[in-house]
Amino acid sequence: MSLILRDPWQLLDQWRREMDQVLPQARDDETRVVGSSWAPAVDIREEDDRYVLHADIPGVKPEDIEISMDKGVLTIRGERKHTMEESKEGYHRQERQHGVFMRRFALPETVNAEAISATSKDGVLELTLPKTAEPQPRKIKVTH
Amino acid sequence: MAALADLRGGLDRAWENIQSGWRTLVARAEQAITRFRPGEAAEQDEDTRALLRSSPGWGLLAAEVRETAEEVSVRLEIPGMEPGALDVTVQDDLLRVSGEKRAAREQTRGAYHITERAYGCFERTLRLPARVDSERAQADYRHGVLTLRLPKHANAVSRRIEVTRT
Repeated sequence: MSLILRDPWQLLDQWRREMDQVLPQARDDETRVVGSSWAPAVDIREEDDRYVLHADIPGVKPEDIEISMDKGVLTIRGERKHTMEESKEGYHRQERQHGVFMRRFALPETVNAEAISATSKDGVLELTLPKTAEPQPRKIKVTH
Repeated sequence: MAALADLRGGLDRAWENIQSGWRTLVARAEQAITRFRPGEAAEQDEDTRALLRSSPGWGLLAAEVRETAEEVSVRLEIPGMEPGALDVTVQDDLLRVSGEKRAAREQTRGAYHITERAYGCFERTLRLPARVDSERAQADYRHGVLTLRLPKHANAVSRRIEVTRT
């Protein structure tokens, strides 16, 4: 008798692959922190003297965004709150994700943590991460 | 072999559950997935074209549609737009929002390490739950969210009719 037992993990992997194609944000993303209900899409660009990060966070007020830097890891955290005056009734469509979001990025050593600055405009957070002047390699002469 | 058959039945059921959960998720969110196409090529430099090539060709424009007795309100998440670059039209019960999200010129210097945000021309159409009076519609763009307040058409406002005895 031939019994073909399908591997459940293979099925889950297949499901995840299919999901990745439709919702890339839902994939295993090490920058995304467990416990956050959504993750903003980001662009990170490197220029000669700085890194620039843009994150899409529509509907989040600047005062509800927290940015911290600890041991070379940059954390962007915040919350999209429901509008206060509204009740839960009358919704025909609700695609917006509310709640806490968080993403973390390990930054290169060349980033000057003290000089990071952030602005927010039209639902886009812009972080400027200046680089420190790289230490010049020093040659040591061997004398005899 | 009965135990193996049970196991197989269980796995098939688990798979069915996963599929049904997946279908629910897709049904809820698939319409938010919006295609972004490159805009006018003439005004783009090579750096902008490179950014457009590496950015995803789609983005999530999450919507919220709510109906009260007098109006329909719609919220649409479209971060990083100039309010003037948004085009909103209402025809019958269809709301159409389109625009072009541009990669600002200073944004394209340097090398991109991660590109998850979408750029270009997009269009999303939403069916409204009631006829609205587009003449009295109000639009506001704040923190990357477009909010539309669309008063219902006189014929669509529900009116309570008193029943009296004659």
